Amino acid sequence: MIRLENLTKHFEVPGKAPVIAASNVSMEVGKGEICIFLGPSGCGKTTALKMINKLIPKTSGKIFIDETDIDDLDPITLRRKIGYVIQQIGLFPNMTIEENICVVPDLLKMDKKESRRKASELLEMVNLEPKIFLKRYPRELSGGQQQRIGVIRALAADPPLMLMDEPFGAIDPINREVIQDEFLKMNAELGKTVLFVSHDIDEAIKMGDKIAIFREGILEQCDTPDEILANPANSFIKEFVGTDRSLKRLKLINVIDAIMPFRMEVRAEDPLNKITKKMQDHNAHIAVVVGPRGRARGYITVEGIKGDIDGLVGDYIDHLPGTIHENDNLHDAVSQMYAHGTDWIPVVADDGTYKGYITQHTVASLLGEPPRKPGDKIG
Amino acid sequence: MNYFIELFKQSKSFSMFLLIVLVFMFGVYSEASGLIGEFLDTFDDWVYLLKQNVLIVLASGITASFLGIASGILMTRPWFKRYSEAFSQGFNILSAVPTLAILAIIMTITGIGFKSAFLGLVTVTILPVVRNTYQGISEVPDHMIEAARGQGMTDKQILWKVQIPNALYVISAGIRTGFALNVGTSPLITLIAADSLGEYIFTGIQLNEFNSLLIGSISVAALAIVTDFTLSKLQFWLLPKGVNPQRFT
Repeated sequence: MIRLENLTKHFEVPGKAPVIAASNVSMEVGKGEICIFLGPSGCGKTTALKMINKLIPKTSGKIFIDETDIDDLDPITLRRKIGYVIQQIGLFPNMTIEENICVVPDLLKMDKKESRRKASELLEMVNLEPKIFLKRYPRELSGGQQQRIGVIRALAADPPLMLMDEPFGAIDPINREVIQDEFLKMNAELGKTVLFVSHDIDEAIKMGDKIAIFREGILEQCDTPDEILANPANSFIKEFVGTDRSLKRLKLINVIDAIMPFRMEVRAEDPLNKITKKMQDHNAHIAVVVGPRGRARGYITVEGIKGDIDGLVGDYIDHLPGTIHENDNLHDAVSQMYAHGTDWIPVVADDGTYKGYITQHTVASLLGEPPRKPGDKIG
Repeated sequence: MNYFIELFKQSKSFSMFLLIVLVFMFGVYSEASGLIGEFLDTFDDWVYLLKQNVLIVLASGITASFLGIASGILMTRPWFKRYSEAFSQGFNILSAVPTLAILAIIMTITGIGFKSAFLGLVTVTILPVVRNTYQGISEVPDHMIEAARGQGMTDKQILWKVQIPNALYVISAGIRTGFALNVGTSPLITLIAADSLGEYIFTGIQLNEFNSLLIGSISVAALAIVTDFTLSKLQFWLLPKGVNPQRFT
């Protein structure tokens, strides 16, 4: 989708050696991928981004978007085809929200009715009621709401590529989480290719399909978040991602991918002798009791039964130590386990049906393994 | 005493009453001193001078506003940027020159009469308009311009769709200041033989005629108040809601 080849930028400083903001940056981002440009301030990540829509002229190198060299396009046409979001939002106070969203469609002289319809559709996607917000002015909105508008403004003309320059950097942490989730959900639907500048490693891990780490204009490593956390290419990256990088990897793995391969699922009316045998076969000492509709109700342990083989499961049920949703990540799961002082936790689906359980042992061994790809299951 | 201050603060009708008393006393004084008689005697002159005064204020004010906005915009253009500092210094120096001196200088070039007065008032009015236009446009935040450019606006579109609309309030404030200066200066043009309400004032001074002096100065003061009031109403209703601090809720 987009390819950078030996992209270089020197800023001339009168009387001094030129400042190198980008040096032979080469990378490729595929269609529908979110690639995070990450690095400390002054590392050239924003410069690299702004060279793509020609806000900063490049010194040398090539940029291809869908195999078209951007040198062949004039800046105005190019920019109208690329969504652009900045940290300071930059909504125009003189225009209503509707006019702000429709800036690019109007510049492109698209059909007004169509673009207005699209504007209210986009507003709904970020959970803002079109009837209330379309006719308001930017100053009547909170910071978080304004940046939501900033994002959907970039999407209004349906560009295949979006450039985002620290878009959520100025938003308070709670709102940032929400707006990040919204954006991920929205982009899962829209499938835009996104280049996203950030200095926040947690944001990068959360949002990125790929992370490109920059230092002093040099692209140090460009890889999937898991690969970067598991195998940092050098000491700079190791330091930048932090000493808790193993814990950060937990956020990349969904609970559903770490569920134990067998799910000990029993019913209250089951006789104990049959169950004990089954547990011994799987070398499991916990079994989860489910109700008639498959919901987790409680659990029994080998120790709890105390060798009783005549009774029913129902006589020995203990309360569950809490549950975790199958789409949560392991970070949440581990945190739940610590909160309840337990080393295992049952996993449930949306409707509360029991899916299996995970243990601290599986989590620990996962982190020792080589990087995982999404969808890998425990072997 | 405190009791009266409280009463005054709280009671609208009491202050209204005071106002009526003042107006009444003024009426009594004017009748007694012959002010009303004098006013009625010269009423036709007064109407003519008022018309002339309003005419020259409007003509010079509107011309100056257009010229001022145009040169203010010009000063913000990239290709003009390197001269704009010199330009704005020039305007600043010009605004330091006393208005009477400006009128005198212009008179030496274009002679006496309406034309010189018009030019003089334009010079007085244009300064705040230029300054505010230049500042209003330059103060549109960089990130807003970056957002506009990043979305693919041309320089011209950035100027007309983003910079000017967002500078409108500052520009309109400049126009209001300009008109206030204009009305305040307008009596002086009598000195270069143009018709204005200043005729009452200067005649009054020269002949030691207090009534004439009062008629002139009260009329000019009223004109200034009415002008500013009208402009503030225009500012309220004409400026779009998004950039109009008066209409922010």
